[in-house]
Amino acid sequence: MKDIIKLTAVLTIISVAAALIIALAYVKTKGTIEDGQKKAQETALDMVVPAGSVLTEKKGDGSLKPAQYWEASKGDDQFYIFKISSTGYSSDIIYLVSVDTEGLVYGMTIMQQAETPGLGSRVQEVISKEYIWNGLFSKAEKGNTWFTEQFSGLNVNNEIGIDKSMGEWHKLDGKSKDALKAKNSITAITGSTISTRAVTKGLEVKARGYLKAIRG
Amino acid sequence: MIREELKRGIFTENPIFILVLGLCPSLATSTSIKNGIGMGLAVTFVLACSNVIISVVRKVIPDKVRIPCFIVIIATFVSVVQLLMKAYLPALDKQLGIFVPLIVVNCIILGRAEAFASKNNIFRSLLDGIGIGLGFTLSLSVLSIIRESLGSNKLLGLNFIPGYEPMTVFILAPGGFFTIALVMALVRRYSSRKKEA
Repeated sequence: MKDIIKLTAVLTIISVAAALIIALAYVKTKGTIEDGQKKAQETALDMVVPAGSVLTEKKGDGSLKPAQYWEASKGDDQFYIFKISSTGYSSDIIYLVSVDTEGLVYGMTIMQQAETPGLGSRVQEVISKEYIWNGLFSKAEKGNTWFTEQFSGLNVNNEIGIDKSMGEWHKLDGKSKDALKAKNSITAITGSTISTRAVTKGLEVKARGYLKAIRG
Repeated sequence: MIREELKRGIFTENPIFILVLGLCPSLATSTSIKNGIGMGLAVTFVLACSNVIISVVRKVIPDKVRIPCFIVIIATFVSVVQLLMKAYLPALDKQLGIFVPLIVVNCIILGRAEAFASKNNIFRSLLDGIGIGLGFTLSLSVLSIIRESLGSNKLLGLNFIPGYEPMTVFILAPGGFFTIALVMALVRRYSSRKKEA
């Protein structure tokens, strides 16, 4: 009996102390974490609309219309921005996409994914031309990723094709890129058809549906 | 003594290649140098802190409940590390993903708590934590240099050899096993030779 009381007391004291330490760390980091997430969201939003657009946040019902979306306007151009989550090979791929009133994609950026490294994770790949020989700490290029770049100008109201015969987009010349765009198609990431398809399906199903619900 | 303790953690009791502990996170986080070093340092921090605290309370904790106590102490430090990473290194946190919370059940940390910190004084436990942690970081760096250069033709995210088509298998789990096996074989060969001499 005495033994049990002692064991319980020790465990309780340790757990309470642990809880206090975690609570302190949580309170201290909460602000920074939220700021960081907000900033990441803002950067992502800026990446998918023309520079100098005016953004307004909108709330939807969460079923037909998304619970949260944005409207951007610059001059006569108007865009809707949706945050879309689509199940890929080993994770949910979450991305922002901006479409105009006709359903043409303006810009797109992947916010979160945990696909297979070296395969599906290349949805976020930036092709860098810097070599390590140019200096150990030369900065890797930041910029848009080739995978999301190829979506701009495609229409979400039509089926988006996946081309596997031409090779990857970043190796194509201008003529082949135009031919792809005319077919409303993108090139697949070699070895990652599932991740590629997840992104196009998200556009075809979710973005199309949202646009329809908003435009009425 | 300080040098000996550190040397023991890095070489003679290297967690991956000699003790063969913590292989699961090693496979997953050694795909790029940044991830490998980030994971190694996170584990080093947790290991050093938990070793110290466990060594402090080792005489108070009854034998019957020592494992749950160790787990709670380790989990506390892991949660703190995770919050700090989310706040100050969000990119690394996204990359390491699930493997940061999984440090809780990393057998290196529980193993050192059970085998070393619960039997030794505070200073030696701290040194043991740092030594083993650095050994883990170093091993992960070696693995990730091999895997990143062969598997994606990159080092630190920069291109490596012009025109070389990378062997993707080295980025995937099977390549991780191959790399660990090769390096482990080399380490064993070297250390057994040394013993003979």
